[in-house]
Amino acid sequence: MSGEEVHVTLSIRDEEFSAFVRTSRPELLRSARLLAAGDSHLAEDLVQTALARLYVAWPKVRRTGTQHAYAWRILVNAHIDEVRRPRWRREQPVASPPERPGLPDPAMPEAFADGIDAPAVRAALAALPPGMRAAVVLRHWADFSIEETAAILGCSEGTVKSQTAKAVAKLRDLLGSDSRADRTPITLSITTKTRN
Amino acid sequence: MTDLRDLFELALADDAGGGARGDVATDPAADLARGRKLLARRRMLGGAVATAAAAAIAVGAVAVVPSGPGAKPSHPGVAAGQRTAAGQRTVAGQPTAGRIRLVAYTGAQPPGYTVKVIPAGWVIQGSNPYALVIAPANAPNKDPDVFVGKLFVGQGAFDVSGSSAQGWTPVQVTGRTVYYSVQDSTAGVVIKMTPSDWLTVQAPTSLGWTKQQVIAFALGVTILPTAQEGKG
Repeated sequence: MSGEEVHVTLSIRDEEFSAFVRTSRPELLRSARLLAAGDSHLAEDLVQTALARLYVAWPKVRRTGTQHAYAWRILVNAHIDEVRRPRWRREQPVASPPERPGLPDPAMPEAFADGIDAPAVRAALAALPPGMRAAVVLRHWADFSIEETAAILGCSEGTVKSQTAKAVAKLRDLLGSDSRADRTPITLSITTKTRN
Repeated sequence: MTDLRDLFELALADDAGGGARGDVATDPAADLARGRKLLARRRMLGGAVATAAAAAIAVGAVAVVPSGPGAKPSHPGVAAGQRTAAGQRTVAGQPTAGRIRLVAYTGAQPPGYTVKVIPAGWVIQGSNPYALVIAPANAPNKDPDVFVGKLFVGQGAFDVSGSSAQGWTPVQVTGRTVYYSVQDSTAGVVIKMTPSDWLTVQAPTSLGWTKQQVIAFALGVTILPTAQEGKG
């Protein structure tokens, strides 16, 4: 076989989308993993779905500069759809399967300073209803404003506030009332947002 | 004192996938390929809108015949259908020889849709807020995201006076207008549901259905408010 070169011409959409994927995919995947309460397989599936749909909508969202918010919106909606509907979903082949959740990295400390470990946090997240989980992740992980969060979730700002407050309270209950006597209950604090 | 962000970081702390931590270069090729594939699929679905050429044959009446004893046809002015040996009824007035018959659907209704009739021997392969996919029970392709050779139901926009209506034939069915077209190996029907939403049905011509049968199938599908328009 000769060394024939194959030239692939990328459209502007392709180039811009690829750049977005390079910069945003890792964080989207981490965020999706929080939405999925630690399920890396589901998180990867959600990100694949979100990015594919984002590619389709790229000309529109590019014009409005809402690529990031749109990706989040699809991500959240895809997750809520996923948990609500029967699991007939297809599998998407990937080069290497994501790691299974819950396998501790030997390099990481086994538990947090307060005695809470990663599986406990993921279990607490899993105990939140999907919408409530999305609200608290959008507000306190992705740093979206209340207004932005409401737009992504398709609900009112009041709903965002109440859902977030309930989520924090429930996390506090779940993680602050550990039955194990050798663990000190943690106190959750809310970082003040620079955005409203 | 533990900050919520710290807590979330902790939840992700044992993620051994370097890409998720951002310390591994992200190759966008796979996502790009998936995006292109989805876009091509959406364009394929919308393609019938632009170039379809349909025969302009008026349909007097099309109906789905209910299967219950003593039940009346869902549309007026239609003769009763024929009961098959399996106790299923076919669409009234339609020859079935050489064609796949429409029979009453008696299985569980898919989320977001109600289905009255289905091709004999076919099953609901999948449904989501954007699409309902019906395929032969023995279809080699089980991917509900692949629509080739399958029945597809979705909703979208349709402008009867705009370019999107080119190639579509208005058909009067019991007092309402539906639009029908055939392009290559796909027949399409669009039916107005609300001022802005249209039910879209695509049927492979390999079914051997007449226009009336395609429309009969489409009239037997209802999209519930939980379904969403497939954009792209």
